[in-house]
Amino acid sequence: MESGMMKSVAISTLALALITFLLALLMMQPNAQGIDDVPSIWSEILFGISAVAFIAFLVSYFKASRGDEQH
Amino acid sequence: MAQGFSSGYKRDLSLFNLVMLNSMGMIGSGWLFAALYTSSYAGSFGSIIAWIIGAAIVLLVALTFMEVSTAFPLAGGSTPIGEFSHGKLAGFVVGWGAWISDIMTPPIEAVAMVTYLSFFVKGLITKTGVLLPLGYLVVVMVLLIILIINLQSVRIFGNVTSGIMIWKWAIPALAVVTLIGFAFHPSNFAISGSFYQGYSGIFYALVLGGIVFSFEGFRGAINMAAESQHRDYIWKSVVVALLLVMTLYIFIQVAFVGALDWSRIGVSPGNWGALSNSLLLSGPFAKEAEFAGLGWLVVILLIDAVVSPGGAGLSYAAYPARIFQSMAEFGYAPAWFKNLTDKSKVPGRALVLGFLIGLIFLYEFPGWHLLVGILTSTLVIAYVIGPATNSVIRKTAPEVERKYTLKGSKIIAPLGFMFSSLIIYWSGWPLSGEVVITVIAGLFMFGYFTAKNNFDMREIRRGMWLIALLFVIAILSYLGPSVYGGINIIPFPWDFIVTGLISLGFYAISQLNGVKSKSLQMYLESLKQEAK
Repeated sequence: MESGMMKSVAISTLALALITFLLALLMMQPNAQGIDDVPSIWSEILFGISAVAFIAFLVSYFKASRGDEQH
Repeated sequence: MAQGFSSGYKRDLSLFNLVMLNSMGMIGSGWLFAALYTSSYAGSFGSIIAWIIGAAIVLLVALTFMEVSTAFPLAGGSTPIGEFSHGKLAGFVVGWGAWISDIMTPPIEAVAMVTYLSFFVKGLITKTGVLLPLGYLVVVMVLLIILIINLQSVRIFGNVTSGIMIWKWAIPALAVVTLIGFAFHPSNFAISGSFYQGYSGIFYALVLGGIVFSFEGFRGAINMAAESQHRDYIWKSVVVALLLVMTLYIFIQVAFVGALDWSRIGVSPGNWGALSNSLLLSGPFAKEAEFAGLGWLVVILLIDAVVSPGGAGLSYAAYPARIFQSMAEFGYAPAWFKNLTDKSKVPGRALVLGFLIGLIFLYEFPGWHLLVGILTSTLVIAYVIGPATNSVIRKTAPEVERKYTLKGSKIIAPLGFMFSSLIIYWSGWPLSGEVVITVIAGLFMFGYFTAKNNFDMREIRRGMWLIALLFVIAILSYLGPSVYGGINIIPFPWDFIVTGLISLGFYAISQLNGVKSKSLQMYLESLKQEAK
């Protein structure tokens, strides 16, 4: 993948990881006992997406950084 | 003006114009309610102290912008400053945060104007506040007039906004003089609860009473820096405006407390906390004037409610256009928006973009009010960059002549950084989380321009701390006390201490990541060539 595109992937996956993490927190809901902030199914899905996106960010970030430092 | 960035703007704004522009952002419709909420948290004398502390906090943040804004008088305020000291990513994030907030203001103010106009003219809105076709037409006409005035030379724009601002200063002043003259009860300052809820009352007034948020619109001159007649005027206008507005707010507070007629309001004297749920909520000053038999003042306050939003819409249309033009110059917005108009030398294309976006946002979709609340709050992000850049730019561009040097910056800059971080934190959960999501969502656009223009990753990395800071503040806000919507894992006052200390840590990281960016090198080169 060309250098500019790899950087773009790094930035976009970082944004996705952080946004989904915060959205997951926003979607916490009370459970049956009325205790607030228990993960709903949507929170769990979003936490999962966040983790995957963060791993993708780390991989693309190091690839993009290495590309610039070699120039 | 050096060629390359913000070149071509006409430097026509006088000190008076700039003071008026700065105060425009600080005397919004907020003045009508801030006095009520502040006294309901802090009592009579406590609320006056809270206003002084609030002005001091914002002054600390503002001071850090003055040295860099005066040294680099460029359009778009925080964007070029962030770009010069911490590279592309930092410049984009602060520019984006300020842009999406400012772009929303003209349509909101135009709708507010029509809503209040409906007291005098029938057929503009429904009983539930939804715009009718005639109301839409008036709003579009208002936005069009705002666009046309903004497309004129900046001298005309400055004079029109100054004229409106004289009115905006006059009405609160008139309300203060009249209420103090005809409806003042000095005994209100002697009843119990002059420091209602003690120190925590003052603190809540600062945040929940809206004091800090009333002062945060101080940055007109910083956005319009490229158009100031003299560089000195940028910092002078900010200080003068802040001090004048603080004085006005203190008088507003004194008049409000003095004019309280407890028996008519239906609240027992000294029960300050009950004021915020009393009859006054429908219009604090109008109600006080009505109780005092000052019917003419009620009418003037209603007319003011129509005129004031128009003025705010006018000046706020100018800011996002400068910010977007600056973002286009730095390569993270379409290059087509770089151009200024031939004759009047204003960012015409960016102004028209603002007008078109305004039209889109007139369409009220489900959740519109929630979205508006979030978008207008993203501005707070831009304040972090002033304190972070001051010392960095002293090191990377010592040769640039400074018209103003911030004394004691080693203390003021970290404190300013801490308070600007706290201002984001004080937005409260879930707003802080939503604001951070909105700002971070802009990174998809930044990613596109990174691929297109192949920005250097080493420079992007220098701005990563800003993204981390925003994310951490949102998490802290989630963990914070329930009074700010959090889950109370970190109760008051520990939340304040923890957020303060973490933000100081981020300040240190921001200093380590300062860089002499490529754009700064280009700018300095253009200064050298101009000097030859």
